[in-house]
Formats: sequence, structure tokens, C-alpha cells
Amino acid sequence: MSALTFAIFAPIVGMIAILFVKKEEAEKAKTIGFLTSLVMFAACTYVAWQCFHIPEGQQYVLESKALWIDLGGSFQVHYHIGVDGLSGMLIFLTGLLSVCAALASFTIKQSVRGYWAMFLLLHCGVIGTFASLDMFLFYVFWEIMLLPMYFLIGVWGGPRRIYAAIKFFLYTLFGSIFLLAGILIVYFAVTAEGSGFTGNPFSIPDLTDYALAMKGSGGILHNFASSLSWIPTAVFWGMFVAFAVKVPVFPFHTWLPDAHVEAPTPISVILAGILLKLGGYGMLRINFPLFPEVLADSAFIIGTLGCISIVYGALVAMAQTDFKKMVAYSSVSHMGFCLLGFASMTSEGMNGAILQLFNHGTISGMLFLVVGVVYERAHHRDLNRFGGLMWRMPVYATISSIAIFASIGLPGLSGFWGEFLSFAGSFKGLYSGAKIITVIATLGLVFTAAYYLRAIQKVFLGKTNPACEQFPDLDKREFWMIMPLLVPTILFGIYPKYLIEIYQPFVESFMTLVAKVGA
Amino acid sequence: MEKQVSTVFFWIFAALIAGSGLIAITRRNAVATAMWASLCFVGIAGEFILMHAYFLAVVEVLVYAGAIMVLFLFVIMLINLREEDLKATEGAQLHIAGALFSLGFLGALVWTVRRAGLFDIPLNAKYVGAEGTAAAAAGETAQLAVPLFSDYVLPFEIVSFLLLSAIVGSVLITKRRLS
Amino acid sequence: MNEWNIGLAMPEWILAISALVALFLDARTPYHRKEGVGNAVWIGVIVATLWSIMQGFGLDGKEYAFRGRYGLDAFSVLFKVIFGITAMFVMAMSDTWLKRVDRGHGEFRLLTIFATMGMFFVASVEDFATLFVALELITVSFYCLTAFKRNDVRSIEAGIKYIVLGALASAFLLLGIAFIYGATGSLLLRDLASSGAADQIGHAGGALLQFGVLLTLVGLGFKIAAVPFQVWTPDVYEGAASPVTAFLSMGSKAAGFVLLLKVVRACLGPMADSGLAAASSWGALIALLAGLTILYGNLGAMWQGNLKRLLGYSSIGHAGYLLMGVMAFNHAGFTAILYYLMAYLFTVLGVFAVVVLVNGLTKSHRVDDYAGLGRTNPFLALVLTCGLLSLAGVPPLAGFFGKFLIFRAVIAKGTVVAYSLAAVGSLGVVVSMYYYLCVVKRIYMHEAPENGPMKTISGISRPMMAVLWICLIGIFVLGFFVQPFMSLAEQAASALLAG
Repeated sequence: MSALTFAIFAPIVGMIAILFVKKEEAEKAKTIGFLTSLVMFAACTYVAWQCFHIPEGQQYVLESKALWIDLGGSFQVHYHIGVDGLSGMLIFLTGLLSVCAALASFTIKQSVRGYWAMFLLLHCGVIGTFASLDMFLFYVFWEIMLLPMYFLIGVWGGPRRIYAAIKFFLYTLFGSIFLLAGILIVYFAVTAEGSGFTGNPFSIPDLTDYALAMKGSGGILHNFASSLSWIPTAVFWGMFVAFAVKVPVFPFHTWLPDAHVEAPTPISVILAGILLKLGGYGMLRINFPLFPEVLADSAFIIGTLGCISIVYGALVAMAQTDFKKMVAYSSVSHMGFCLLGFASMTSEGMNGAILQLFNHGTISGMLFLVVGVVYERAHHRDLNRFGGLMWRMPVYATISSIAIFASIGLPGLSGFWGEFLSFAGSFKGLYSGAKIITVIATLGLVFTAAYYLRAIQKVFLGKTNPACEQFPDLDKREFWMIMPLLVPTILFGIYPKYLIEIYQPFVESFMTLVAKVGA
Repeated sequence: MEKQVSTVFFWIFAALIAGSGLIAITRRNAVATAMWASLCFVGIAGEFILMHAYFLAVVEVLVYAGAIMVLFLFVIMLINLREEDLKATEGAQLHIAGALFSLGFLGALVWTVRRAGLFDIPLNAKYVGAEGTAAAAAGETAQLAVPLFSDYVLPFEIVSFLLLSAIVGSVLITKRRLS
Repeated sequence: MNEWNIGLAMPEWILAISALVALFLDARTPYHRKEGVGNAVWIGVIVATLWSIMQGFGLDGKEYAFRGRYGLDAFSVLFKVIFGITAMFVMAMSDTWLKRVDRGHGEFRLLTIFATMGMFFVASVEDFATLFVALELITVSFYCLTAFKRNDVRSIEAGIKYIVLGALASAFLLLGIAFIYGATGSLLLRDLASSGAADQIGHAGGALLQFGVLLTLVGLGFKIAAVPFQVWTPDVYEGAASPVTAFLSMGSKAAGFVLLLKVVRACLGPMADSGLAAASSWGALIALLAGLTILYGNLGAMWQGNLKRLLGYSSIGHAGYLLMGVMAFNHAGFTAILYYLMAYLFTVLGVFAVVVLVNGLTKSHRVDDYAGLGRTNPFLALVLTCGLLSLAGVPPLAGFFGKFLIFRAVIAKGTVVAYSLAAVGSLGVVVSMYYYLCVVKRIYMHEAPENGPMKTISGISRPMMAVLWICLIGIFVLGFFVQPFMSLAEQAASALLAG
């Protein structure tokens, strides 16, 4: 069993162990859950470490492959997993956030066993999705994630949790049906006679190679290109919608504020830190590599959507008085940078977008934890009813400010690199109109700074609100749940090389795919 | 000559079946319905005779018009429905919808039969089935009995269970608690 | 083919004998001591099912009995096993349910076994005469089972509706058979499939045959609750006793599909083989009905506050998905239907098992009354949730693979009609997810009201517990280990296509 398989199924083992915990000893579930998340973190770190030494001429490490479903003919679904730098990095992020979220989950008192079981199942789905190299397997893991998330929001969430949970579920399901349809259409196209495809019709590496070989001659769906020429575009956009719902991109974002506001703190952390990354990851892993030509044609639209997300998210965030809702909308805004970077199809833009995936994971995770800390003390999140926390909770205020400045994109903190490179890449983007879009998107930066600075002023500075007099500073658990995220924020802010190094092979191969099309 | 006579009788019986059937379903009074229905069965028996299926004709009259309808009448008179129970409850819309549907179905039937060219075939043309038995012999009981107890013995036996099931079911629905 | 070979129908004879024994015992025992009847029925169904399985192992191609009017192949064996398991699950449920009723214990079980017998015969049907009487055996038994709760107005209403519409459907079916016989001169399905029927159906003389097939499909459409013959479903599902509803939703529907597949294969198969233009218009007709059925069922279910009504509408929706497989009309489509039905067996019966148990406690079927089930009865809540999610088609549960195979078969057609149908089906999936989740939400996210009826259910009988566990395991096994069941379905579909 490879370390990767172990990382995927360790949560399941932990979950089964929790199911055997007796009702009277529910606290044991907490211990098991936390220990499992530590084990998961160790495994994820090991997996990420392996990605630094990917042998020459090999794209993935820790690959394993076993036949899962054989429906006859070429319809063979494999349990095919493996990681490259991109997925290794995100798996590491998952491990890191799972520990933080587990620490933050100690305050959950209701149905403890059920909570931890769902918490672990969610991680199985997430790591499995990152590791899948088979499209069908990817889809199955993608859907496995949905249910625990639904329950985690719906059972342990805030007052409007049921509405938020069902909205989250239906939005994502709506998107993923397009994904499944797309997978099927790709399957039928490449296995049809005369396609010239020899690999496995579900294997992502095989299909990517095929897409490279077919550049300029109709792409992987060239069978349709003659009769139903709209099909490749339709499949591309169908899959894009599936992932865009998760990112979330502008018209599909409305589930996010509800889900975030209602979810308990640790779940918000995972939602913002990991689940949103899955959208971007899916685009990079499946959507773009399989249809590089359609991507080139659609770059303007994608860039525009990214730009709208950035500006719109920031503007709406500015209008919020709820701390958490503000952070939630800032996620919409920040994930827009990824789209901007993707659309540019330049090396800088891709670098920036991928950096943004990781850094937004740590920073937004931190911000939600910060919000959670103050919510636990005050039992509200109204920005206008805080004030002067700096003097009462100095450690807390310092950490929060670092997180906020990182999110604004202050140089020296990790948030800067993602935004900077995305803009730099986008400015010399390969599609017409790239410059205008980039300029408009920079407006978002101004708004971001505005709402965050306002938040700092209202919450931490000024006269101490009498209601906040008695708030204690961070205790040990709270300090250590934020610390693992603070360290990479500062570390990769000063020295992003390690991060860039790990996924560089992916960017290079992606650029060859895109470049050849452009040429 | 025989052809024309049987054609005339065919139409008479057909009108009898359709007319009495129509009247039967539009009566409020259950007794009247039963009486008209038995007239309908008599018409069907007549058609059987025109097809030289004498045994079936006799069975039709004996079993349906005779036994079953008598049983129905018996039951109807036993439960003694009052006039006000028989008042219509549904509105006219349902009747119109039913009538439209029936007319549409009739149209489809006629259209099909026409398209199949059956109007061009003389009404009393001799029927030859897959089993190769000529209609001339169809009137004989043996011609009915042999297939029934050889080729069709399986459905025949299943029918016995069907009847058993119906009996058990009616006992279930009607019987009082036996305590 | 011309032998009598009566022993081939041994499972049916076993059922018949046990029914007669049960009838005899029923007549000789007072109403409150019907264990003997129950035992006879149980033994009959178990032995018949095991016998069918044994037959399946020793089967070589297709075997005939009754001079070719009774056939046994992998297809019929698979369905007999499905019917047998369904009957056992339903009997376990009815044993639990009958404790709440003070009459008709013996008759209830007798009618169950009569219906089962009809289903076994249906699986082996080779001609239209047997088809009709076997189907009537099922339907008549269900008329009485539906009206079983004589003191309940809803039950009586359900029974009357079922009888009236069922009789209408039977009339259509009979007329259709008459037309087919008139056109081809034979009642045997295989004569239709192999003779000159395919050529006939093309020209005007085939109008009779086409009309006959259409009427037959109308009759069968009633059984499977396809639009526009679905109106009875919600009322009957709601009014009938829960075990009967379970039997109706699985047994009766599967029986309808057995016949639909056989008839479609026999009547339309030759057309599809010879690639006549008529074949595509039939395909479009079935696609239209499938799409409407999916939309009607799933949209209708959204507004239901009664779980059994909701399941009634959702069962219409599932008929639509199964019809999608019929529309595909090839090996892949038939395989998908069979897999779907296998998955549906565990899924829907698991759900109804919980419904029966909860109803004993709350005396209602309102969805609202399921609030707090997750806290008071975690296991039942788990089974119900997994069942509902599997019905919705969440991977990797059983229902997902059923739906997936159906969609695969349809999309493989590659026509615009097929794509549109797949799109409608996807819409149905999203809608169905919504209403299933509304139930799940009640189970876990709403608290049971104070002084409400929801309490921990104790004293679940052992067969009932077995049903719950088997269904739960089945839901997962058919989702994870697709292979063995897939090959079963494939064999059965090949047998069906071989004729």
C-alpha cells in the first residue's frame, strides 16, 4: 500500500473506529479524530515531500493502479492514483488544515461521534479527489465529499443551516452532473472508431497526452467536430460550470456566503481552505488540459468572469457588517485571481494562480479561525459591536492583523506573490482585451484594502467596547490551531521558492500544451 | 345470398352491442345497467354465431348473460341501493373528457382498420389461424377443447389460481371480524 | 420445444402447493393463530427461490416447457430470484405490520403468495395468453391487498382507483393482444420476433400490428406507472398498507418491466434489427414518455408532505429512468435496466422497511414526523438515509450505478433525441436530490417535537432486522462491487436478446 492510498483511507479507518465508540464515551471520538488527523498530516507531508523528487521523464509519483469496475470493452474504471507537484502541494495543504480544523473542532459538543465521523469522511473525499488520475474515480470522490459537507453544515451549523446546506448540495450537484456527462461524452468520443486513441478512456494522463497529440486537429473530441461541432465547446463549458461552482466563480457563487456563515468554524476553514481549491484544481487537471484549444478561444470569457468575481466580491464584502460574511465574500474575490491567471495562459499567470490556490488556503483558513475565536467570546460577529480588542487580546490582534495583511497582499507575506504574479501574467495575457481586464481587476485590490483596513479599525483599534472588556486572550489550543497556518504564510511570503519549485514541472508541461496550440 | 344476409345481421348485432353497451354505462340505476349489459352479451353471442362459433355463442349466453348477470342482479337487489345514493357526484367535465377520449379512441381504431385494408375483406371470410384450423370446424367443441387443454393448459391452470385469489380477496374484504 | 417438461416450472408448483397448504391451514385455524399459514408461505417462497437459483446454475441456453409456452433462461431466472427476495422482504414487513391489525392475517399472506406466483409465471412468459393471465393474477391479488384496510377510507379509495384504472389497462392490453393476434395469427412472442412480422410492420398491413403493440404498451405502461398512465400511483401508494406499497413499488413494477422488455424485444426488436424507419419513431415515442415520466414524477414529489406519496411520485420518476433504458434498446440498455432493478430492490425495500417500523410508532406517514429519527433510532435513520440517497443516485451507492449505466446506454446512442433525454434525466436527478434531502434533513437536522410520538423503537423482529441489514449491505455492495452483478445483468440481457 502506497503512502498515498494510506493517506486516502486513514480517515476511513478512523471513522470506522469512531462508529464503535460507545455513546457514553463520546469524548473518545474527539481523541480518535484528532489523532487520525495527525496521522493524515504526516502521510500528506510525506506525499508532498515525494513530489520534490519526481524522476526524470515521469509525471507522477506514488502511482498505483488497480482495476475497479470492468463493464466490458474499453469501459474499465481503475483505482488509479498518483501525485505530481500540484496535487502534492494541495494534499499537503489538506493535511495541514485538517490538523487546524481538528483543533478548532474541540468546541463541538453536539453529537460528537457523528461530527468526527463526517469530518474524517470529508477528508477521505478531498484527498481522494486530489490524488485521482482516473476521471471516474475523480467523480466518485468528488461526490463523496458532498454528503459529509451537507451534514456538517446542516447539523452543526448556525440558525439558517438547513437552507445553507441544501443550497450548497444542490449547487454542487447541479455542476457535477455536467462533469459526469462530460466524462461520458469524452469516453464515447475517444473510444469511437477512427479516433486513434489507444490509452484508457478514463485515464487523465492518457487523455492529456492525447489532447497534446491532437492539437490543431480538432482536439480529443475531433470525432464530433465534423457533425456536431458545438460539442467540444459544450463539454468544456459543462465541465467548467462543474468546477466554477466550487471555486466559486461569479454567477455561481451565491451558495458560498450562506454556507460559510452557517457552517461551524472548522468547517468554514475546510470549505474555504480546501474545497474551493478543488474547483481550481479540477480546471487545471481535467478541464483545461483536455480542451486546450477551447481554452484559448474562451480565455476572454474566463478572464472576464475572474475580473467580475474580483471586483464584485470585493464590493460586496465592503458592504458587509458580519465579519464572517465579509471574509466569505473576500474568498470570492481572491479566487477570482486564479481565473485571471488561468485565462492569461502565460507562465507567470499560471504560477500566480497556483500560488494563490495554496496561499488563499492558508490565509483564508486563518481568517475563519480568527473570526471563530472572536465569535466564541462575543457570540456575534457584528463588526460594529467590537472595538479595541488590541488592548484586551494583544496576541490575538497581532495574529489577526498578520492574516488580514496577508490577505490584502502585503509584500513579504505569502498573499502578495499569488496576486502579483497573477496580475503580471494577466497583463501580458494572450487574448485581446487582457490589459483592460487586468486594469479593471486591480480596482479589486483597492476595495480589498479598504474593507480589510476598515475591519481592523473597527475590531482591533479605537476605544475598547465595554462588552469586550472581559475577553480573554488566545488560550493554548487556539494559539496552536492558528500557528501551523501562520508559519507558512510568513515563510512562503519571504521565500516562495519551495512552493514554486514543487509544482514547476506541472506548469512547464501545461505551458507546452497551451503554447503548441497558440503556435 | 348468404353473404348479404350475414352482413346485414353483422350490422344489426354490432349496433345492438354498441347501443346497449352505451346505454348500460349511462344508466343511474344499477338494475337497468345490468339488464342492458346482458343485452350486450346477447349481441356478442350473435356475432359468434355469424362466425360459426356456436359453442362460444352458447357459452356467452349461458355464463355471462345467464349466470353472471343474474348473480349481479341478485347482489344489487340484496344491498338495496336507494335513489339518492345513485345521484351523480362528478361534474360534467369528466363526462365530456371521457366522451372525447372514447371518440378519439374510436377514430384511431377505425383509422387503423382502414389503413390495414380490412374494410375490403368480406365480413364472413373464413379465418385461418396460425394453428391451421379452418373456421369451418370452429363450431365444434373439440376444436376449442383440444388447444385449451394442450397448448393453452398453462394459462388455463393459472386462471384457476386467479379465481382462487379473487375468492380469497373478496372474503378478506367482506368478512367481519371473527371473534 | 414440443415436450411438456412440467418439472421445469417447479418453483411455480412449489409456490402453488404452499399456497394450497396455506389455504387449507387458514380454513382450519381461528383468526388469531395463523402462524401455520405464515410458515407455509415462508417455506414456499424460500424453497421456490432456492430452486430457481439452482436452476440458474444448471441452465444451458434456453429451456422450454408446456410445448414451448413456458421458457426458462438467465433472464427469467434472474427475475424469479428478484421476485423471490422481494416477496421474502415483504413478508418480513407484513409479519411486523400484521401485528397491528386484528383481521385477515391468513388472507393477507395468501394474497401475497398468489401475487408472487403470478410474478414467477410472468418471468417465464412465452406467449400472450400466459402473459395476460399471469399479469391478471398479480393485479387481482394487488386489488385486494390494496383495499385491505377496509375501515380506512383512503385504503378503500386506493383499492377502487386501482381496480378501475387497472381494469381499463387490462382492457387495452387485451385489445392490443387481439390486434397482434389478428395481424400475425400467433400468440407466441418468438413468432413475432422471428417471423415476417418485421416486414409486415413496415407496410399498411402492419398497421394492425403497430396499433396492437401500442395498445399493449399502454396496458403495460399502467403497470409500471409511466406517464400518462400514472395517475393512480400516488393515491394507491398512500392508501395501501406499507408492506403492500413496498410490494407494489418493487414487485409489480419489476413484473411490468419484465413484460415490457419481452414485448418490446419481440415486437420492436425485428424492426430495430432491420433498421426500419418506424424503429426510430418508436424510439422517439418511448423517449418522450420517459422524459415526461421523469419530469412528472420528480416535480410532483417536490410538494409532498407525506412520505408514502413522495415515494409514489419518486417511483414514477424511477419508471422514467427505466424507460430511458428501454429507449436505448440494445444490450447496454437492457443490462442497465436489470442492474437498476437489482439496485432498486435493496434500496426501495430498505426504505419501506423503515417506513413500516416508524409507522408503527407514529401512526402517520408525514415527513414531519420523521424529525428526530436520527437521534432516537440511529440505525433506522442510517438505513433510511442510505436508501434515499441511493434512490437519488449518490455515488458510490447502488442507485448511482443503476442510473449511470442507464445514462451511459442512452448517451451512447449519440442522437439528438438521446442527448435531450439525458439532459431531462439529469434535471430529474437534481430535482430528486432536493426532495430526498428534504427528508434526510428532517431525520437529522430537526429535533423531534416535545411529547411527539418519536421514540426509540424496540423489539424489531429478527427477520425485519435481517431485511434492514441486507438492504443496507446491498446498497453498498452494489455500489462498490459492480462486477459480479453486472455480469449477471449482462447474461440476462443476452438471454433476452437471444429470444
